[in-house]
Amino acid sequence: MVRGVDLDIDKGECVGLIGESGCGKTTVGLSVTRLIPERKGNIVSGEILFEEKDILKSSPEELRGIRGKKISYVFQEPFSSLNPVFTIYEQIKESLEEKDNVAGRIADILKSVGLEKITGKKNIYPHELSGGMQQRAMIGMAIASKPSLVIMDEPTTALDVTMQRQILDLIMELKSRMGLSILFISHDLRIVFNIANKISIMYAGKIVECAPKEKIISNPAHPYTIGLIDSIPSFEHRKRPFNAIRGRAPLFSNLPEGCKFYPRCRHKIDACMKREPELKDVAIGQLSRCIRTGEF
Amino acid sequence: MELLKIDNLCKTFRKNKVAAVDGVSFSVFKGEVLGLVGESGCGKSTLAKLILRLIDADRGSIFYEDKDLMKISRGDMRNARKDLQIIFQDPYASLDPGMSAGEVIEEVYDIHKNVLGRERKNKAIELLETVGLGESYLGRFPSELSGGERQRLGIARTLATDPEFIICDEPVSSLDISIQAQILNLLAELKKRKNLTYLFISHDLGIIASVCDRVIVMRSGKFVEQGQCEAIFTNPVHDYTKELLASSAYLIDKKSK
Repeated sequence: MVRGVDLDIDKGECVGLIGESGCGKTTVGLSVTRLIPERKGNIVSGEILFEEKDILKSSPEELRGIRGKKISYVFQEPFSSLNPVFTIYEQIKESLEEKDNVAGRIADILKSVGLEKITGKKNIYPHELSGGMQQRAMIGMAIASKPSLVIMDEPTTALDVTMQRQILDLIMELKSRMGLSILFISHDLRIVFNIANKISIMYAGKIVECAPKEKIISNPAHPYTIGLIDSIPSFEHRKRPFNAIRGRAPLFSNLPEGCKFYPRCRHKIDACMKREPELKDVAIGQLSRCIRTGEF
Repeated sequence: MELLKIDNLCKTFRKNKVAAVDGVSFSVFKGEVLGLVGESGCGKSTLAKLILRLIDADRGSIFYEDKDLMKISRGDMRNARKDLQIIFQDPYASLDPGMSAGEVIEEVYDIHKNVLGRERKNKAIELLETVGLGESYLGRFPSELSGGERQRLGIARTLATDPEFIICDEPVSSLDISIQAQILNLLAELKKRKNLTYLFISHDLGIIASVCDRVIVMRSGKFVEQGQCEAIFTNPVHDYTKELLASSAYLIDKKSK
């Protein structure tokens, strides 16, 4: 469930969307191109402006021209996202924007995602590749249509650290070379610190803080963001207890009144229970959804 | 004091040609947290199971307080597992969905027959309180618990036999970061309170760096480097350790970028 989310992604920018499981971050990513089937859920209100056009008002034909073309996706599990009965070649071919000189274009794409090894091989199936190579192939499919926005939902979560590093480096390189805009969805602040320009933190279906990366690292404003950063295990605070966030995230079926974070918040006051706070400016480019921001 | 001493432990699974655990030797000292870090498939979980003899090693020796675990009978091994316990990664998979929290803990006493009758329920309540759950959780089923609560229940079950040595096999990898910090705090607190010794297995160098005294780096069934945590993280010697650290620099120092 998403209860009113605002996100701006500028051209060539990488925005990190952070949240714990069940907070609605994947739903946001899927909603951008209306990928949630109507029987499962609707977008009740709002607008999704992409290159100045509202996707929510697009016709099915227009939508087909955007989905997987101008806006493409990379998901967490490459093996379950790739089709096991088609070759990598065929799957990349399917997402190509222009259909002339197909073999040459596919070779270029494979090369640009670090899959030189299988360039020229038309009969490689997904199961023949390692997890890291499958994710490279997925990224190849995502960039084949020369998109302007790529939505990446936990693209490195299923990978080992060395592979994770390589994939992040690849994403950064493609971003600068192709001028891609990226919505990078993750539960791991550490990864997003590495790749994003701006970070939005989501809790219980809403953004609770949004700021340039540097601000989130040096001066987080919302108690939830502060708690998340304090929960990061690291060498520098070895052998000391974490200043952990208490309790657990609320269920959507049983959301508290007022601020959704107050039951877990160490700075709560009575007023927090009365009304859900608005996102307010706390510094240049930094917004926080907390009535006590700045007091602690 | 050496609590556990492993010598030249080997295991090759029948379907594979390469050894999953290939002649590893190490000791765990009483009261320490020994980290075991490596990428998926390096053999770290197999090693954990070998130590508890949940699978049998091909050769090598496992001494626990001067007792050779490889040479004792199955019954004696079961008895030894009162002292040597394990916390599994996935609290979803390691709890029986048909058993309530109370039953999960009481089952331990059915197996070890060391706590009888009504005393079992009292022990179960006490353990649930120890892990921060409390009596109200006695009748709840795993499906009614969140991921963090399930892992707390898994820890309560592990503590039921009053072990002194616990293998923590990726105990927080399936949890959200805020819950992960709670569970790591709980493990640290239990260690202090009950004077426990941990073998802490993880693929996450950030977690290893924050909880361990000593670290072993494992790759393809072998140990490539071991040493004090500070030394491994500030002055690694082996190329693979250097590569791992370089790949995850951003995971170790939260303000690295």
